[in-house]
Amino acid sequence: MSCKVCPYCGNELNKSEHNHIENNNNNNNSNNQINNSQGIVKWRKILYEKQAYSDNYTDETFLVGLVQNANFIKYDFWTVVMDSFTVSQQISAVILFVILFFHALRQTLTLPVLLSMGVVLLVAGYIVISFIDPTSNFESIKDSILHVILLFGTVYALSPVLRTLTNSFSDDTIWALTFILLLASLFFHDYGYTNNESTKFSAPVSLNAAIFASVLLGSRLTSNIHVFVLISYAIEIFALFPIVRHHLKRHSLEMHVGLTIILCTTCGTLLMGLNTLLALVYIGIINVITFVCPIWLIFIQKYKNEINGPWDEASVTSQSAAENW
Amino acid sequence: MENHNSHNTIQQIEDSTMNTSNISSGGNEKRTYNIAMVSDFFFPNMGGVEEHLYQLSQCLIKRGNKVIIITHCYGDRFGIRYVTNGLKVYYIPQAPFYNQSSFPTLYFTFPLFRKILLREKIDIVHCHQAFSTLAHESILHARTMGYNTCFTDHSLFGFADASSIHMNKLLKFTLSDISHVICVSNTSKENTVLRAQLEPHLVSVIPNAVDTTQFTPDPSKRDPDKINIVILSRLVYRKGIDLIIDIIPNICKKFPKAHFIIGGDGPKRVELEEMREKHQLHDRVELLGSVKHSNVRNVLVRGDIFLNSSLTEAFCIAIVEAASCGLYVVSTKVGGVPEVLPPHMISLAQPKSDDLEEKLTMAINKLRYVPVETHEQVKSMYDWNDVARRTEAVYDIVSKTPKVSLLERLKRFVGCGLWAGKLNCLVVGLDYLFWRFLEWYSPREDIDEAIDFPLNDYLQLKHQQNLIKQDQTSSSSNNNTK
Repeated sequence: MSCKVCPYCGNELNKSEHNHIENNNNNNNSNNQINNSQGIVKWRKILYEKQAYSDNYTDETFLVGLVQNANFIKYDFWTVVMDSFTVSQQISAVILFVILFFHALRQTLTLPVLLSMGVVLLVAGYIVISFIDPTSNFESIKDSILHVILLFGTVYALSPVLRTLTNSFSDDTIWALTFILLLASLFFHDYGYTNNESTKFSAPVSLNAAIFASVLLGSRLTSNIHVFVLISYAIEIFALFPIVRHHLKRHSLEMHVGLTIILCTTCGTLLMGLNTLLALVYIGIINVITFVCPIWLIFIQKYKNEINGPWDEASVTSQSAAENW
Repeated sequence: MENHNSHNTIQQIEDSTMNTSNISSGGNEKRTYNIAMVSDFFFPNMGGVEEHLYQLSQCLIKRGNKVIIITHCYGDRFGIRYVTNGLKVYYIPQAPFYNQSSFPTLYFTFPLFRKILLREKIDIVHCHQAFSTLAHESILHARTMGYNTCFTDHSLFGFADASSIHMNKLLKFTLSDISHVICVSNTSKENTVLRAQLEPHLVSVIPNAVDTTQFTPDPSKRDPDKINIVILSRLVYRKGIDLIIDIIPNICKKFPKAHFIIGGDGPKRVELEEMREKHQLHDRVELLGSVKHSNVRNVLVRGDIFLNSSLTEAFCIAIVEAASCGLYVVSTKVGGVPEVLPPHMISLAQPKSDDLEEKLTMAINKLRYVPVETHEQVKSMYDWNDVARRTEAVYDIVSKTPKVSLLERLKRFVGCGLWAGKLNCLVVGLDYLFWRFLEWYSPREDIDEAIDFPLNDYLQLKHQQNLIKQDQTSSSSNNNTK
């Protein structure tokens, strides 16, 4: 029985019939005795036995269960730079979309050029995926081609409606709303997926915001076919392009770097053609994201103080819940 | 049987009060205090904190102290009420807004709070539970008024999620100027010391207890043909119900005699029912729904093994109650649970379903039924009177701490953080000004003192009445036999 270990506890048991105050006095006496005669009774982290220590006693084993920075990762600068590329890619993609819109609006690019460029990009994307995605086969490609035809057909059929949907909005409203929506789309984008950290693309808010922005912009265009082309570009850039980037990053880092450089230079040059100041701001932002932010992240690691211990809530991965998924 | 029990407890109260009066008249230095317990959580709400407050107050009253409880109003229950043995409860008009925590108003409770403290001639303000906004506000006001305060923390917090960070900041603010803190387990002490950045010697560990007279074993209620495994908890994620859902089908497959009795209600109940449906276990898994506290013992005594699957727990009264009813306990090894029961009464598993299943299997295989022995051991381990004695010791320390000036208090608060420190000082300074204003607006000489509950007279009267009743019944039974 546990009580044999401690004479103090034995006392308590024998006299449990007596009233408590007398008992307390006894406790205090035996308490002193232990302290005087055999002060070596070691404190234990238990509550079920009365120990010969005061209640606010702090043992040397206090906080041994404390674990600091258990999930500490020492970042490598160039790895973080590579990982930051996915953000630069998305920003560039959004800006490229806006540039395309302006070319369509000012009709500096003719309709056949825009159309053929869209088709080329779509086909190129499919070819790349069919080569580097190990799960792709003839059946899946055939399925997705059917999907594409259905999707673009729907957009084509709806383009008159989409063009006039927000026609009555003033220009200022359109620019302001588009800016906010594209910014929101950048904020809520699933960067984990395009950076090959997860395998499921889930950014509903981002995608919806981007498509909404493209519909808003579409109302400023001159013909239905222009609207169709613009929304097709939106689908390609915001819905399909992330999938290509995910597979590229998974396949090889070189291609990931190559794509980023191509995207950024294209975007920079095209912006330069529109407005020099904008181009400079763009180059500044990309540099900050690529070089300054990683240095900053590595620098603030020394302030990291993550505390874990026995008081943490255990996390449970339920088998039955996993089956349901 | 029940009558007999209640008579016994009254006798005990009588004895102890007699003793205290003897001691105080005999010139012994044992001091008694006027204590105000403050928490958002009290009856009619039910739970660990509420039970703790009630039992501790009762035992402190028995030991000659005067205790009042301040809580917020519950529905139409507001104003002053007396419960058992003249424990006075103030249900102050504060509306609860989330999980029974009262709406944080910072200064609006101060006038009423000050009046209560002055009327009741309070010496020590004792606040409970980090969730309770009323407790936090009371610590601030009581310190402004110069009262010695202590605080009992009943639960564990992490450091990572947003709500914990928020709570920890608040705790750090209010505990910057606390006289003493009580935690319910050593793990809880470590946690609180880290969260509020306290000196460890300011924190005492006083475990919860269990009223073992309520949780007695009853071997006749058991079914010898079955191995009953009891689970009693709210059916929520934090109690690890997912683990239970995983292991029940496997255990039922392994042991044809195993039978689960699950008490409690909550969002996870649907999943439990789905599991029962899927594996056709209707005759093996009994879902009782929510169980009243008075009925807990009747459920417990039916079982052989008590299964606790909590994911976090500061103390876990449930396993002590179960052990007191003679059940063997299988539990997850989280928080303060490993400190609560000796190894021969409990089997600890990692909070993973395969380990919990393994430990439960082992427990079923070598099940040895010794309820009375277990009950006696638990009785010697946990006793509310002992908790009250140790809490009094804390009150002795608290009452001896020297008074601090406003400047010293502000110094303590400014250390909370670069911006938070200054903000805290602002809050404290404003509170001080508000207090001076109240002292002028409603001077303490004008506030009537409340009449204390005549506990000794009440107990004597009750005792006499009981004796008369006993005489009557005995005489009537004598007549019957004649």
